[in-house]
Amino acid sequence: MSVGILTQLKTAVSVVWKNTQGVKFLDTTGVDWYSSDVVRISTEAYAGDNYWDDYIISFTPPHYSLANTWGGYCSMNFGDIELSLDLFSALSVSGNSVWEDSDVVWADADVSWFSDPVYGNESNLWPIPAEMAITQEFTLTNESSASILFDGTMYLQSYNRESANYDLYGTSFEQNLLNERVDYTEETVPVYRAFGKVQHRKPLRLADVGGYPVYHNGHMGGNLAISISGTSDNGSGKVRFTTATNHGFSNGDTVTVEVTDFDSTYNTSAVIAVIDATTFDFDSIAYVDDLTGHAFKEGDWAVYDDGVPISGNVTDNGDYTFTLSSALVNEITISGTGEYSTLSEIFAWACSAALLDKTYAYSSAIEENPSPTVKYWANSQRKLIDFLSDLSAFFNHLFYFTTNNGYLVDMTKDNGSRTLTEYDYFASPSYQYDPPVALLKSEWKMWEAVEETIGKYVKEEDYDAEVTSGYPYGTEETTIPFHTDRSEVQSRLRAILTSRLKQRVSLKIPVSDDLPVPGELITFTDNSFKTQLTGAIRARRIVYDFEDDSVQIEGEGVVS
Amino acid sequence: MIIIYPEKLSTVTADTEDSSFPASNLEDNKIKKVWKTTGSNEGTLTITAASGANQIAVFGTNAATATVTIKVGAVTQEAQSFTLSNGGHTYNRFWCSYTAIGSTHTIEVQLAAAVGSVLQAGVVKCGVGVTFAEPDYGVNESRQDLSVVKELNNGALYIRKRDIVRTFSCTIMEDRTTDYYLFSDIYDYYGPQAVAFLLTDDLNDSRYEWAVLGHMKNPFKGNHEYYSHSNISFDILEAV
Repeated sequence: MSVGILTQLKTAVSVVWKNTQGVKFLDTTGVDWYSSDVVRISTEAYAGDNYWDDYIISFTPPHYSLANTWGGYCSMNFGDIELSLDLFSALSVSGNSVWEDSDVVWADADVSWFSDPVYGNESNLWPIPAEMAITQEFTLTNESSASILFDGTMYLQSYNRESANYDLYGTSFEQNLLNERVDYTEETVPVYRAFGKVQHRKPLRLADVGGYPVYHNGHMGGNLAISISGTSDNGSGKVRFTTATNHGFSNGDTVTVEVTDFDSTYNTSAVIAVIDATTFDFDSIAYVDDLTGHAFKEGDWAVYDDGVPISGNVTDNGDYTFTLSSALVNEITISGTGEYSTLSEIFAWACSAALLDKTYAYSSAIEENPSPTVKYWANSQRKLIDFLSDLSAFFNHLFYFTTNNGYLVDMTKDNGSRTLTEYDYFASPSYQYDPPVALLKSEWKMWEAVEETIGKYVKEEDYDAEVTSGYPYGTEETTIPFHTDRSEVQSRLRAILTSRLKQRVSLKIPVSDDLPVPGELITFTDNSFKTQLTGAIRARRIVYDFEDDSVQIEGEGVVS
Repeated sequence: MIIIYPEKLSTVTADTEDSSFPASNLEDNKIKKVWKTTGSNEGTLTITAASGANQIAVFGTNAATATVTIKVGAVTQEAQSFTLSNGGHTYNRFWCSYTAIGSTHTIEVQLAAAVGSVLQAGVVKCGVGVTFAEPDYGVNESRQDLSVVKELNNGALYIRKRDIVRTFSCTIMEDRTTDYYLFSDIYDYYGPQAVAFLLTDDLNDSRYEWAVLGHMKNPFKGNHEYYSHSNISFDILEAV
């Protein structure tokens, strides 16, 4: 006996219940109120561990769809569900009910329970409730091995004397990319955030403290650069740096020095020789003159005023903010590395409990190895999920979620695989090409400290990179870059273009317990042409049509 | 031919029941919504029937044998045994006709499935047996296959086997003033809802093979060809 969709309905979600004495029972965090009469329905009658009545008339197939053909968020989407009215007439609840929270069972012996319409939701199944919690599971073997497909809410769309239609609402990720707080002008604004290494970006100015300007450092990691109070000849003609406080460096560390003279040969990174707690040498750089500035290791952050290093005039407050200890001269900028620098690190941060709340761990088997580095300064608010989608697409990755887990998948790697013979898929796959792209380009800006006739300042410069396909009649498209090295951007554009130009195949396989997932490699042979075709595609759009007994898989690949 | 009408079943209880599959599941028309024991291959159903009942039928059971005992109070009125196989075929149903009881009575149905299996049953029907004429020769029996069949890429067939139910087409000739209009009453009462039929009651395997819990999806057709008699044609689709 094959099974199909097993669906549990609950009548109350986040509801406030009152008894006749007006006592409210609130659905607060950690307390899950629900009807003890869970309704179990399916597309066909099934007696497993429980009986599942065949009250589902139809429902839109759940499906994964990818934001872009070259990557991004592969979201699970749901449509609506049509239910038999028998569901409601047969299970109408009136009079005493038993309601449970996660700890105790409340027997309604003395009072009549009802829901206050002010708060929405219904206490029984007739009239047809406007909202119900819904959990859909799939199995082809038995109830205990069913896996969750959908866990969300359904809201009544319409009903007539034959059926009721509900729209399904899955988990929506409404979290914003950036935190918000009050700035210097007392406006609530997004707090900028650095992902990977950024240079000379304007930090968010917060309210002054003690008369001194306070800024947010954009969630940069590492330590604040150490102030260099002076330089000298180390006795061998090389430069020796003296720091204002203990530098904390070790012999052999690679340290970057920036001084007030932008043209100085001291402005470089070199392996240092530590002399003592406050001095170190650049053994390869000749001593020229005495300058001040700051020094830092890779991963640290530094502060500038019109491009001039002023980290010595800054106090790191330890909460991603810093305070200037001297009067503001002009434009403050910061350079450094965000606390999350790779695609994997950023995805892990986004999956944390406080944000998307999914379990995720880097996998070199299905992700680029090592995870690509990011160089991006986020200074405008948007949905976190949209940011992740654009970010992962730029690096030719897709990501998707199951109930508890998040997966990041390189578009060129296999997230599992299966080989199909002609016994394993339905007749007549379709083969197609998207219109070609002629040119793909990215544009971005970078900032650099310069000294020109007008003096020292941070100069904004425009950059771009582009790749062409050889199909001049195609379209021109642009994509947001999440890196600032031209060679890296060009390489990523080339990968995107390669994905865009691949042939796309759509085929249907019978529903089985082993459902395909995004990124899975599907290889097949098709003998329905005069000459055999062999295909290898990766699943990007997957439609689980349980009513049709089929799973439609669509993706790009190679057909030979 | 016998049709149970009106139904006289008051309650069904079982000496053992899985809490997810209570004996009350036997009271609807859903054969797959079963009663199950807690794990035993044996169990006893106790059915309370109102006055006048003289038929009991069980559908959708995996029992191999059944013993039906009719009681008034504690006094046994009648007992019959059934082996749910005949001529090498096994059946998931049986039909028991007994002498009508003019008071509320109980019917104990002892069921036993194969050792190692969990006993279950889908529907119990109990009531007054209305006897009609036997169907004319040429009862048409077929199947409705609910399986899914689709073409694979090489022309082979993908098949997902699902339930296959019986269908019957019958014609009976009845006295118009009594039985024709009684049949009409029965149809008007049930409509397309499932009805318990014993299509013929004078064949050896009639208690098994010819017992059907089925729907008359389409209204019957009457043909008043004769002065006092009419033909009634109807189709039955077995319930799932």
